[in-house]
Amino acid sequence: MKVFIFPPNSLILSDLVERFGHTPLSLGRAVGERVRDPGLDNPPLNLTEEDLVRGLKYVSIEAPSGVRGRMGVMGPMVEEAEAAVVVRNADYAFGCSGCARASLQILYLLRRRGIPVLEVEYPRDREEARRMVRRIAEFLRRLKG
Amino acid sequence: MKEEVRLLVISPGSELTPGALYRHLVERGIRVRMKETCFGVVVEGRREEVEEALRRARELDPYGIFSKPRGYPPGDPRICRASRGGSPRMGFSFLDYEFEKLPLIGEALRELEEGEKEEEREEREGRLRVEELREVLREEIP
Repeated sequence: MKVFIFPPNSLILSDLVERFGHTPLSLGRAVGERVRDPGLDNPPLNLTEEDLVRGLKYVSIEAPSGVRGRMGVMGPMVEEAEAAVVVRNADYAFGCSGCARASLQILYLLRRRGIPVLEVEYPRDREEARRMVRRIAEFLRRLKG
Repeated sequence: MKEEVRLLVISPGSELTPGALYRHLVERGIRVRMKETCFGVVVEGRREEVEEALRRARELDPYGIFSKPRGYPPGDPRICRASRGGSPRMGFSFLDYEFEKLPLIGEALRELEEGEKEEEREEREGRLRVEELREVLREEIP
């Protein structure tokens, strides 16, 4: 099954989803498909005009271009997803390479789609890590049916 | 032919080094482009070859090597620090944050798998074998 992960560039979530036999919908693969496009070679751009137009499906024209651009890439990933694993305390989803509003919009779209969503938190100690991995494993195995 | 770039990240709790991982993959004859980095290896190539590289890498330390797809190829001038005038690569801070959590996750994965193996073993030992059942039936029903 295709599992959306949030934060979409998370190493831990991407790895765990693959280990348990599903396909993670991660940002790396989506960006990889775009940067191999010969028309895209201006740093630091990794978007095309089509992505911005696609973003209009999810946010209004008044939304900042950062939100619109991110939604242009991640919106179709949310639509494609059959399940999702979300980390709640992902502080790095906001900052120089993240966007709080785009993250809120993604979480809103995920909830509205009504697909199975598992919410976990980054662990701070062994016990929390054990709980996080066990919950993710159970969730992903149940998806397999 | 789908090309993919993948980060193979070595957990700080692992005894492996990026150099050792790189040499292991070269010795196994994996046909991918590789770049050794401070946290592991970046591999680029056909998707099947990249998956084979990951499988081979996990032979060394199944709970100490983590991976995720990456967008840009290794050494791409669009994000290379040399051409951008320094500062960390985009996304490095987040990778660094998750890098610190990897020993915890690796240990939890090991415990999960070992616990399941133990349960399976107990279940197998507890189950009556066919020969034993036949023996019991012979004794009980003459």
